[in-house]
Formats: sequence, structure tokens, C-alpha cells
Amino acid sequence: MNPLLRRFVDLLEDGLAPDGFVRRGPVYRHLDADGNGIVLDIQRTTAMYGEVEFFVNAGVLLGPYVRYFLDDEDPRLDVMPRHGVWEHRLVAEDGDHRFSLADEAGADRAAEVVLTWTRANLPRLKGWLGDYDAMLAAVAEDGERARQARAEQLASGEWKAGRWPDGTWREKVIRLYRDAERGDVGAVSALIGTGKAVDPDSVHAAALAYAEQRRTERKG
Amino acid sequence: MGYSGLVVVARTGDTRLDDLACIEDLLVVARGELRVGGWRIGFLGQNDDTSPGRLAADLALETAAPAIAMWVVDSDCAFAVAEHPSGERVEFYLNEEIVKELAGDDFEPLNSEAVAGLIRWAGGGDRDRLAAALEESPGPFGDGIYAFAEALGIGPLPPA
Repeated sequence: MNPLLRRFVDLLEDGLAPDGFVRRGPVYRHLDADGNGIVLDIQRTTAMYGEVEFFVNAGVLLGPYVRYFLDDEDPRLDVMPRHGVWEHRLVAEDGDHRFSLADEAGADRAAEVVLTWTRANLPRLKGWLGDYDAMLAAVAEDGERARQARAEQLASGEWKAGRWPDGTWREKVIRLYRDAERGDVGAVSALIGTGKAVDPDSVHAAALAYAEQRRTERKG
Repeated sequence: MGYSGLVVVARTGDTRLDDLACIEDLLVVARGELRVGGWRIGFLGQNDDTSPGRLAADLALETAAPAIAMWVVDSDCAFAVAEHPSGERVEFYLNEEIVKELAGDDFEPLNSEAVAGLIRWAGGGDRDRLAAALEESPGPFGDGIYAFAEALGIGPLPPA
């Protein structure tokens, strides 16, 4: 590994370990017993030889949603942040989304940017884990902030950094699995819609099966 | 668009590929599919921090066992290096014909001696199957790589 990237990776690993993050390859994971989790991953760019450029993606995972994509034995579970219900690409020191390392001081600053963001946001992110209602409340709050920011931008005609909420939500997935967790097959079916057959390979079918499983467990 | 990137064949037993220092250093995730005899085949993706020759040597040194590293190009062909802890090295291609087309005047034939070298490297194997496997492409799902490995006796685990 490039020494600058190694320095950045190690600084991040040391800095995140006290909060329960474990690194595997480019992915730092903090998981609860149900597979819900917070993930940071380093995504290398297609930079040329010698250049060290990458993105840092943050994500929140919903255990049952991840298991829809990958079974428990699938080695790709180690790189599952792509299947989260909330995703956010961190911003580098210069305001760009792409981190670029040129020297040791730059690697240190990049690590500090990521650690500062993570420490500031960890309480919020941890509050979402396994708590569907908290996530849906955050979806609503973020939606309202986005509406306000949009209105302000239209009124002022100028971009104001920091007004827009971080990250992208997959609200319907959260609702599907919230209702499934409750064993509410009817609510899941209503969300899917009755006018079409459920694709057996779809997240809809997975959520429906999970709802039926949870309903059986609750009756038992 | 097919797969382009590194593929390794290494004898690590119960150890995941990315628990090896030389793989961990590439910042990739690769458990590697476990095969008979403790062999694992892993797809590491694109990485410009090493080369097939360097990685094969690192693997052989760390595992004290023979190892192969290859660079696959768009699932069509691959340049590969088989390294033995004794220091013997075999360089070869999967689908040499395509490599010849792609390389043009820079093409360097390797496969004429590859079968014998690989049989020595592996301490056995099926000569005819190996010769046939070397002519095949890696394939979009790695089928050509698995067929190549099986010709060297590195087959899948029997069903549990």
C-alpha cells in the first residue's frame, strides 16, 4: 500500500477503534448484534500510478435489508455499505468529495476531517440503529431542512453551504422493514401495492417473507 | 464489460486471503473460495499497488507454499505468474491468442513451456486439461480460472 494511504488508514483505524469500529480491508464497521450498523469505506478512484485519491463513504445499514442482498456466508458482507438505507459521501478539506494525499501532513489532515465528522455524527447515527421510528423521524427532518434550503436558495439566488442535510435516505425500505419487523404482513403488502405480482427476487418479496417470519415468531 | 483485476490462487488453509499481510496491504477484502487441500482462489479487483510477479512472490514467501497471481483483462485473458517457494517461477497467459492480438508487436510468447513448468510447480496435474485450460479465457464468472485450477488438482470442496 502507498505509505501515505497506509498512514491515513492506520490513523482512522486507531481513531475509530474506541467507538467499536473494526476494519476489514477498506471498510470500517460498527455493527450491532442484528447486523444493523454504521460503516465508513474508502473507495479508491481510478487514479494513475502513484496518485492517492479516494472517496470516503459513510453509511447506515439495516440488518434485514443487507441480508436480502447477501446471505450470512457471503464474503461480500464485508463490503456491504453499498446496501445501506442512508449514505453520505464525506467532504475533503478543500471542499471536494475526493480526498487526495500528497504528503504526511495531508494524510493527517484527511484523517482528522473524517474522524471529526464521525465523532460529531456518531451519536446521531447510533441513535438510528435498529430504531425505525428514529430513522423515519430523521427522514422527515432532513426533508424539511432540504425544503427550507431550497426555498432560501431560490430566494437568495446563491448557494449556502451547510444548509442541506447530509446523506441520502431510502425511506421506503425503512418503512417496509419497520412493518415487517412488527410482523405486519398487511402493512407490508399495502406498501408494495396490490396491483402487481411480487417479483420473488425483489426486496419487496424479501420484506414480505420477513414479515411473515416475524408474524409466526410473534404468534409462537 | 468483464472483470479486470488481480486474481490469486494460494494455499492458506483456514486463513482468509485478506488475513495475509501481503493481501491486507492492498486494502482489499477477499475471503477467497476455499478449495481442496486448503487452496483458496480470490478475486481482488483492480489495484496498482503491486504486480502479478511481486504478489505471487509475496504469497509464496508468506505462505511457504506455491502461489499464483494473475492480472485479468476484461475477462478475456490474463497474464499470470506461478511462484514456488524454491524460487522457480512460471510465467504464462490464459488465452494467449487474445494477448497476442492485444499486445501486437510487444507480444512475448510464454505458453510453449508453461504446461511442463506448471506441472512441476504443482507437483502434478492433468497435462491435457491444463493445456486446454490455458487456451480458454478467464470468463465473466471466472469459469476459465476455476477450470485452470482444477487441471492443477485445485478442485472445489466436496459437498458437505
